[in-house]
Amino acid sequence: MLTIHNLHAQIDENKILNGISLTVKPGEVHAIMGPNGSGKSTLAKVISGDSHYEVTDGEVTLEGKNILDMDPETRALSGIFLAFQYPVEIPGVNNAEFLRMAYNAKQKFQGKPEADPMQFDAILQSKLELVEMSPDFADRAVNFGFSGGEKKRNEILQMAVLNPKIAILDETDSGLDIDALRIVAEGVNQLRSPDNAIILITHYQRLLNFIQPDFVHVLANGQIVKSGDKSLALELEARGYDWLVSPVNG
Amino acid sequence: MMITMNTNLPSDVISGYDHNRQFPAWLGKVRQEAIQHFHKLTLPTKKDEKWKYVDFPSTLVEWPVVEDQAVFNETVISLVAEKIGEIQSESYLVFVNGEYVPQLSRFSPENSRPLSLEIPETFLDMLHSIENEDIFESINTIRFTDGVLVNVDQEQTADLDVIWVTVPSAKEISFHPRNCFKLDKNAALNIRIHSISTGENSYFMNAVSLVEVGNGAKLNLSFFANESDAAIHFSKFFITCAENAVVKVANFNAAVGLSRTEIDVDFLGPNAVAEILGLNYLVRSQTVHQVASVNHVVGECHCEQVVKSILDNESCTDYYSTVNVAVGAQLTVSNQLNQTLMLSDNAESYSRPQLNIDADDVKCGHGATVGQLEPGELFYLKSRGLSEAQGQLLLLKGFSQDVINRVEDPISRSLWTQFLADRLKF
Ligand SMILES: Nc1ncnc2c1ncn2[C@@H]1O[C@H](COP(=O)(O)OP(=O)(O)O)[C@@H](O)[C@H]1O
Ligand SMILES: [Mg+2]
Repeated sequence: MLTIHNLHAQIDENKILNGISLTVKPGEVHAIMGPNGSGKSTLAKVISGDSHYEVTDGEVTLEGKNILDMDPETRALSGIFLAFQYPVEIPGVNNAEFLRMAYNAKQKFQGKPEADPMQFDAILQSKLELVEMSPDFADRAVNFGFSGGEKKRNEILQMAVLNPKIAILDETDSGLDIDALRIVAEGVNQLRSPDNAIILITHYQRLLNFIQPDFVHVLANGQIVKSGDKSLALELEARGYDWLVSPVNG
Repeated sequence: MMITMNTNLPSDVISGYDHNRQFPAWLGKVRQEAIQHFHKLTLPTKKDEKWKYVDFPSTLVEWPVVEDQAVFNETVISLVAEKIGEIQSESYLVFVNGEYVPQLSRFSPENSRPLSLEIPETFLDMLHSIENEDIFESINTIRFTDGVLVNVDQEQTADLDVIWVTVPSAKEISFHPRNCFKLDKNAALNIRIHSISTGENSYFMNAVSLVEVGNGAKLNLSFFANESDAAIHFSKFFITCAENAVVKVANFNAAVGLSRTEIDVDFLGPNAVAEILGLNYLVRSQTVHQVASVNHVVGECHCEQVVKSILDNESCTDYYSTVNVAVGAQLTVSNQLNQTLMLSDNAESYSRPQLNIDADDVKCGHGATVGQLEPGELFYLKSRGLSEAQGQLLLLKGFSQDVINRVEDPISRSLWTQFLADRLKF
């Protein structure tokens, strides 16, 4: 479904991703772990089309199509979704209006009918319930004045509305208390299907107690240094990352 | 380029007062006085802060008033019909090239009428109450031939659209509307003034509006300009607020060549509230000056100014606002906020809020920001599947939103959002 091959990316001549290869098949959940600064968020943003990063080598395909040539909106419409580690606050922009526009853009892209405000409201209400968010959030400005946890839930809400093929969750668990974590995980689990896949970027294995990954990968210095199954996450929790990460100048 | 003072103003500047229509004798006297006064005035110079950056052609004061210009053709009829459909107005006065057109208008004569039809007694004092402080006010007094008179009686409400249409004429012409809006005790008025043109014609609109908001009365006034790039539009509002009055004045500029709107608000009774709002979205070599003068003559009144501009290409805005708090006007709250979003490196913006405070127990503030569209915000929206145009529309709406939220009249609110959507066409 999503194939990443030998991906290299940099920002201002500063090499961040140094040859990442990863294959994600429908129905799978992949966890990506790794120390701070190892390039996890960069990988997520490069996949979603953040033009700050320059891809110098490698390819990324979604269902056989090269996405690196697509603009960010086409990637999104094609089924890629990133729940940002730091969602931006957009003062004045109404959450529900934004979501309806995004939903309709996708419907249109897929040749399906667009939803009018009434129809969309019904869709939105059901998704709000899924992530246990109060309906008030629909009428607030996007992420504006939201707490850290509320922002993360808002990302999951967007994911639920857009129903992507590949969802990349970048540390959606950090900053969440255990209840919020459970809600987010339930939201994600409800969206799991044999047709879509999830990439979970996380620091902690606790999220993986709620969302069972099929594969766990460790990213260090912009490369995948180890892959395994769920037991790798437990091992990392016990031993840290040092045993996997070779000192940069060592 | 600013013009230098011309002591020999041409005689046809003042000949415009010799109108075809019959006006009451007292008005002739008022005009004669204004002519006397006119000769003592000079054109504003760069030294006059209120006019500092206003760059008008030196011949402007000579542009003639041409009567019987009310062109009434298919283009005008369909443009007006479209506008009325858009605003779903039930009550409207339509003027074409400065003249009232009864065939296109529909209004309730109990509270509103065109000035050219008849001037009721109630407006006499008001009509000539201005001091002709600058040369353009004085020219308006000398030359006005039409305008809108509204009087909302005690406890009554009214809702009205005024549409000024200009159609191309062979030469540069001028119009000098004089309006009076009078709200009696606890009255309420929603009034929307639209200024539109059918072509890229040059004209000079020089309007003066006198507004009296009585005890507990409520005024929502919005002004919406979508005019020719060659249009010069000066507009002055003198607004007095009695005790407990609530006033919202919103000035929207979608297109115009050179515009200068001056809003003077005088607080004459306590507990009055006024908001002066502005939204500009300019995409060509257009300039909008918003001048405000807020006079807290008495205390315990509250004024908020929020003026926002979106500037593309070589457009320019200038905000000059003076808040005066008189001796003893305690517990005054008066704020000025001016924010500009630059979509181009060639756009220009001036922001000049002033405070003159002679009381000690007051809360007055001002803020000005100039920024650009945040690439991070736009990327966030695109990462959800929105196109560049859709993302921009949302961000521009977002930028406008705190002004829009303050506009109470739902029709003027939707006019701005519809205009944004049309301009960003997607
Ligand atoms: N916009 C940026 N400008 C400069 N350096 C960046 C930028 N984004 C990321 N980096 C650098 O790239 C490296 C990887 O960052 P990131 O992908 O955020 O790591 P992680 O998410 O694994 O903590 C870090 O050294 C970080 O400083
Ligand atoms: Mg990160």
